[in-house]
Amino acid sequence: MSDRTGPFEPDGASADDDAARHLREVLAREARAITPSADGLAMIREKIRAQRPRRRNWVRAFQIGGAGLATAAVAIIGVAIAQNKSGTPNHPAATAAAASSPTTAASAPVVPPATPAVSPAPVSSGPSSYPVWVYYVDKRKDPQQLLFRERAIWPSSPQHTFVKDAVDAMLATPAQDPDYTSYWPAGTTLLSANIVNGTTAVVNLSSEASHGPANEAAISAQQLLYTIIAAAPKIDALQLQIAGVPVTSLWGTPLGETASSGAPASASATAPGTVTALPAWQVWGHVWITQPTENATVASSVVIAGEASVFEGTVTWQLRSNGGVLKTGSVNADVGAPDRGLWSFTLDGLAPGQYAIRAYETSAKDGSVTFLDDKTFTVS
Amino acid sequence: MTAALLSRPGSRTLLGQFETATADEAVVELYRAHYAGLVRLSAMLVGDVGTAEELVQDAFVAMHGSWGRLRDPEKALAYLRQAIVNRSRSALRHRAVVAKYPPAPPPDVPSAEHFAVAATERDQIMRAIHALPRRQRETLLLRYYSDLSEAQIADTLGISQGAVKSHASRGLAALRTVLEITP
Repeated sequence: MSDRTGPFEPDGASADDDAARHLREVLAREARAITPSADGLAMIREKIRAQRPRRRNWVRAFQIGGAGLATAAVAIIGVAIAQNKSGTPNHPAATAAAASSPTTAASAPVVPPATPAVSPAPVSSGPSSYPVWVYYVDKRKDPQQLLFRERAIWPSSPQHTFVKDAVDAMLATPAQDPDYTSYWPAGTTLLSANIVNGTTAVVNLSSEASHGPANEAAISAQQLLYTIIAAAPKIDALQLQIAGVPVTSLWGTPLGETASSGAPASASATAPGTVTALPAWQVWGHVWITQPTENATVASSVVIAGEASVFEGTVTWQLRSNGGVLKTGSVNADVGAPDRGLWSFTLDGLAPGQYAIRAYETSAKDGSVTFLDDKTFTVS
Repeated sequence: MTAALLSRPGSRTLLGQFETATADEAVVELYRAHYAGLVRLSAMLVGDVGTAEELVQDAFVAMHGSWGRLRDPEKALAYLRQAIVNRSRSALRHRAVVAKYPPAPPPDVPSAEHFAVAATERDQIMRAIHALPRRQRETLLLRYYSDLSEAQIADTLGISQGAVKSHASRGLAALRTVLEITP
């Protein structure tokens, strides 16, 4: 909606032109850095469905449970994990189950996280939850450790604790895509998160965080920091504490050294142990598929979309089914490397069944596949 | 199912369902064409993508509910814009109130997602935009991001075209220093 020239550029006021053009560019860049989630339409449909009569019961159930919301959130975390593990984020079914058993939701607080699957609570679509972005590390190391992003649905707290929510979600939610992982040790929890000097997050993790794979420490620190940045964009640095003690190294790897190559926004953060955000082109997967999400169920006409920071913006894709290649093609991101562009295309007329879509950069050197991302999806 | 209903638009007995079907169609069509742009607009207004997504989705739900009255994609889009600007305002107001209560970490300085490349300059300008009076900020975003006409902006904000003109020129004038020192 913003590609054409403005319909009412100032006529004679040439003094305005440069500033206006500059503002337009800045806003376009800012906008490009915002990636709406791929399943917005599914969320809207679900909310529409939820608005129909049966919904009232379950809203009331939540209001009744309101006093115990904090504890409810604990139970909800458990359920969210269970849903992710089962690999079937079946929102409509979850909503329906919730509508028909409101009392289950109200009594949820007593269910400990360890035994979550007893009642399929309405977590992912509830009015008191919201999407948070969580970064994960690609297991494939293709060609090096890089970050990928997924959306997790998280209970919103009345205090709007965005940073806390994001870190909690990162620690508690396994990635949906089996190629992604988190090297933060199981059982690690967030004890506190504060912001100092306006742009540095001080994150205090539980003692479980003290031992992890040494080779993954630097990327895991970036994973944590980018997850925080997605929730609070003004943050550009991280100071880590474990069980309340400030640490300058993680899993045997000194923190802060990796920052020497310098993100422009990080010049001021030089205290020992301070992790600064490395530039996206250095630590994010060069090709991301953001739509469909892993294991999504889609219609026969499906939009494949993502981000890329690749040479001339050219992303190669492959549609596979039953181990064979059905279709290949390429698509151009709206900008090429070093910028990060958006790309999308539509596949039409897919027969019902399971598919995998892969997107990658074809190496200019030898034509090999690099920076691969792939998603499995089902056409219903 | 939708297609089946649509293929029999004349059927009176199906009229009720037909209206539902077209509301669903309108949601899909407007979503495809405008969802990303509206989320981005809202994210720049509220400074938080998660909040923006949620309120844009809610605006679509409200539009779906009002489809019987709107009946026209253009009107529906105008409705969405109004709803989103209004809801973004309330979100911001709510945030301002909430931010007074520690220990909530307040991610209150907006700049959507952080891209390290050229982030400093963009941040600076986005911060300047957020320091502007609300109407000026809204006008500038609708004009220079969403590319709306004066009349469309006036309609979205519920103010006169003359007011739009003055908000735009004052807003741009206020930003001129920061826009000019960072070419």
